[in-house]
Amino acid sequence: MSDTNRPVGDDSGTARSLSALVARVIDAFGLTGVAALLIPIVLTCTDIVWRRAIGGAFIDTFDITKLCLVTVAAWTIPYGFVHGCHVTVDLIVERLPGRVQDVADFVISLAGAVLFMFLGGLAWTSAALHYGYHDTTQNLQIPVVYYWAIFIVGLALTAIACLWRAGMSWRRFMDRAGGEP
Amino acid sequence: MTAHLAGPLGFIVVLLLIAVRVPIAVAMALVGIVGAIALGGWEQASYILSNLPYEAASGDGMEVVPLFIFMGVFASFSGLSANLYNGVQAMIGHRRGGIAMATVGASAIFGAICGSSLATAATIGRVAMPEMRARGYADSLSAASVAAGGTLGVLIPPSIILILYAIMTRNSIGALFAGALVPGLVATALYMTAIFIQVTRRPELAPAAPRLSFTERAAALLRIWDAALLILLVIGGIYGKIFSPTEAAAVGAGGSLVITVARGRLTVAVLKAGIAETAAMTGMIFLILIGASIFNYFIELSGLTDLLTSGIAATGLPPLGVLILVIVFYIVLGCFMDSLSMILLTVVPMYKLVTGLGYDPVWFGVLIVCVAEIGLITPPIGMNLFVLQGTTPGLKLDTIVRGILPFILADVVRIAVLVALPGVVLFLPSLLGLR
Repeated sequence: MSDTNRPVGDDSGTARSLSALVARVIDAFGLTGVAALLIPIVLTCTDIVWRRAIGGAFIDTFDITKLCLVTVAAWTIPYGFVHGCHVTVDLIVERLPGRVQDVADFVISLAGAVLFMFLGGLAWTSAALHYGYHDTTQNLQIPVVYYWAIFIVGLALTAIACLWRAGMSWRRFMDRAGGEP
Repeated sequence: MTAHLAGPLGFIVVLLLIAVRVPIAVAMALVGIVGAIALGGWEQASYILSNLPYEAASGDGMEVVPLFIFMGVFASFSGLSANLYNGVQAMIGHRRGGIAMATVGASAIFGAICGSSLATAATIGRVAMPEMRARGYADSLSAASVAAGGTLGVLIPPSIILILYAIMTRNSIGALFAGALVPGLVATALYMTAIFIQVTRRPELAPAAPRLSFTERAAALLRIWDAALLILLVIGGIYGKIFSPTEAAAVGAGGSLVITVARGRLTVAVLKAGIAETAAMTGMIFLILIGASIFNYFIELSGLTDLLTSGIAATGLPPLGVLILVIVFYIVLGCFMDSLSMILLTVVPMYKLVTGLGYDPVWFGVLIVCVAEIGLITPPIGMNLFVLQGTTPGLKLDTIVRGILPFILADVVRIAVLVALPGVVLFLPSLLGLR
């Protein structure tokens, strides 16, 4: 295993502030995504008690649970990139000099960003179709485009998180070029 | 290049990308997209790919994944693992090697709350390692029993990998959970046997401890009420047909949060840490799911499954021979890949191949999870070994590896039992009317 999310040397000014801001925004989305799980937890528990005590469904939880699922799934993926949680297996690069590793991390992160921008673009076309047809969920009539919007935001954030990682790798590379080991 | 060659080539490229540090999910997605466009053409591929990632992240039944992760994480933070460990230790800790056996037993019970092997190893390891060190147990035995015990987390229901296998192969989550229960107990017994044999041959590995009084044992057992309640709610709820698996996951997640509050452990810091850990695990799993769904679409287009099936038919190997090849393939792959990625990367062609030979899908799901468990404790990518090393001060990787071999042998025996006696997996789902 390798963790490419190593701390980097201090950098001054705008770049550092921007980097911290991006990480904080992605963190906020990731944690909000998980916090959204509290909604289906509370609704489902209430629904079970309601069914037993009174009979019939308290509320149709299916659509809301699905909305929260999309939120947690889409918004925790960029969080994983910022915190270096995604699974990597490094058999070759870790044996190479630090600067080569930085270049590899930079290229990999850029490729990731391109991948998620591409997937985001494709998802946008699907979302546009659902929007055009005014599709809604079967039970609570929630517009389907809401689900897609949340998902596309997640993909966009993931692309940004990959660019953030690429920036980190670049800074490490420059730090090393500036004489750091 | 023919479509049939594209499939194996795709696998090779994914493995090469993984070897140069590309995140596994990204490697699968990149190769899947390029392959799908090459084989299916832009129009077809772009239409499918515009929906696939969304469907992978929001598919039916998928909501149980983050909910069970949430449950396991907050169960870890609630502190119930310490009482659980002390309860099991009070019963068998006085025997030679008993504390190591208690570690395995506590891991099995914690595995019924937490569907993750890593979380089980980390949580039980934090309690068990200091205790075993204080009692003079050899680090090699202590660490190996925690690492091996941790693997029970992915087998004993609720198991995240079994849930994903069920969703991807359209099998019943309930049937897979029921099918994994007995093999989980068999694994626990075999790990305890491995400890027993080791301490019988080399008593210096684990000194005997004093036996507790009846009152002390009863008190220790009573303190595991919360873990027992949570297991009863989740597993009992599913098989008592009170809850669906999704409802059970929500109830379990809510239950673990309530227990954390009841124990006075829910501070703002714990809440933040629990949410952060859930976010990290959830994001990791869903990214792999998205990557695997894209890659599997490409594999289906390539006709690799047909190639595999016809190739194996041409060899004239009997079904058992094919199955042994599949098992060996997973054991070797498990040395280099984590179990979740490995299963999601390969499950589509392997599932069709093995069930096409007449093997039961529920049995195969449980079997490959058992095989994948070996990868969790096998160097160089044995994730549990790294987790334990990271959470135990002064513990060297080679110390853990030195002690792990008997547990790997126990795993091999278990796999042989499952292959020879499929009823070990299938009788409970049949008894419960789930297949």
